[in-house]
Amino acid sequence: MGATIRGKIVDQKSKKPVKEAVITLTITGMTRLVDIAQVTDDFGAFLWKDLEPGEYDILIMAGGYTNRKISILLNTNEEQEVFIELF
Amino acid sequence: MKKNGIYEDQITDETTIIEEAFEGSGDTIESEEFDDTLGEETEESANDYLEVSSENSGSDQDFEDLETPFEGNESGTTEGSQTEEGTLEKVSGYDYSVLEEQESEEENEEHLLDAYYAEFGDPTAAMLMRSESGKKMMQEVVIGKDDRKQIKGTTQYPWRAICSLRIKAKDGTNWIGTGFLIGPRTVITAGHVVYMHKHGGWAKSIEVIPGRNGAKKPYGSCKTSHFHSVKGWTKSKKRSHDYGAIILPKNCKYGNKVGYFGYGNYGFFDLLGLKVNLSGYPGDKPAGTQWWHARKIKAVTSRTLVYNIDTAGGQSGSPVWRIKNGKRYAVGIHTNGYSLGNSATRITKPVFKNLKNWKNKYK
Repeated sequence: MGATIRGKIVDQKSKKPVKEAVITLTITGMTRLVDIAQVTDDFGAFLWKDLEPGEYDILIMAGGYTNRKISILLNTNEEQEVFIELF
Repeated sequence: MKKNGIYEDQITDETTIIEEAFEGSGDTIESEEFDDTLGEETEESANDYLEVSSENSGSDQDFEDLETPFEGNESGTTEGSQTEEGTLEKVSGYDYSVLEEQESEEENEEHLLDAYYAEFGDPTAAMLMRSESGKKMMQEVVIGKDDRKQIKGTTQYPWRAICSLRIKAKDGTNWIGTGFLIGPRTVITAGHVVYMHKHGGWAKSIEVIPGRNGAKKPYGSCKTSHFHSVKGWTKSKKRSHDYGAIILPKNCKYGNKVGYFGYGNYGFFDLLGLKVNLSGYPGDKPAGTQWWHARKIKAVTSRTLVYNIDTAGGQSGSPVWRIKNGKRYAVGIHTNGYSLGNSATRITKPVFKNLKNWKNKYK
């Protein structure tokens, strides 16, 4: 089944969703990760399923914003929600 | 099993079979040779290579013809001329001496390769690498600096035959990946780009953008919902079968204009230590820019290639290629990032045959 990250990315000041932000994941340790990246939709949302448990770095890049990197720990079959502000 | 530095179960060197890239006037056909490493497929594993399509069309298999690399009908000089070593593109600003330094690094990494191979059948070694001491060993690995180079001349061959992909999954999520042309309408990529098991299966649509350079789309783009992969990926989700094809519409024969890559099935000894190129569209760089890197192949399994070429999310489906006699041949399809080395699906004989079929069927 795998773990899931459900996220939303907004502008820090306006709180409006940031669409077309590119999300890349990296994982530490002995886990292989497919080299694909996700792009947020019109609501600034993204959904990443089927992840192995582990410690992930999430890099968010969007035009006009400073790059942001956050780390999260995913347990087996866990679903985590992340809310990220860009400035 | 390793013996005298050689992994015995991988040994069979041998001959190669080659599909050539197309460069417009370059239509030399190489002799056809086969690596029979995988000649003893079991019925079950052979079924994994059966092609499946998003359109449920029948398979019209014809593996007899050779293919030809083609640089396309676009005018312009070829920036990517060969280096002295012969197999790599010449990209300004890249320090090719690191490829030689890599050899000493690899001696230190030998134990890590053991762990990689362990994944393919040795549970004891795999357990070791998951232990505390194994993890500590992993943390001590120095990957080195990121020396990827941006390709700015993306309207030149072979860079223009590499495509930025915008993927719309069935569940509405949006993704980015990379693909490369091997024929007029056939774009090869990773299986997980065209078929995402947990995001609805076959992608809803993919926009293909050859030679993209940031916001610039020098050849426009085409959207399609016609894909192929193999049962080993769509049904069994085997990493070793992670590859597929995007079929462009009949009115979008990009390959005739921008050219396409050849591809080849090479033996173990041809591949191990071979200096290879990888170029694609990573998500950790400015949007839509193409980045290249090169390294030696440091491990070869029966169905995968492992290398320290730097990659990031978005580069799935990138070609891993060599230059031979001035022509570009893909030897693998990049799929995974991994602390033990990034990896590609190897173009084995069955993979080669499916690529050839997908190329010949859609011209």
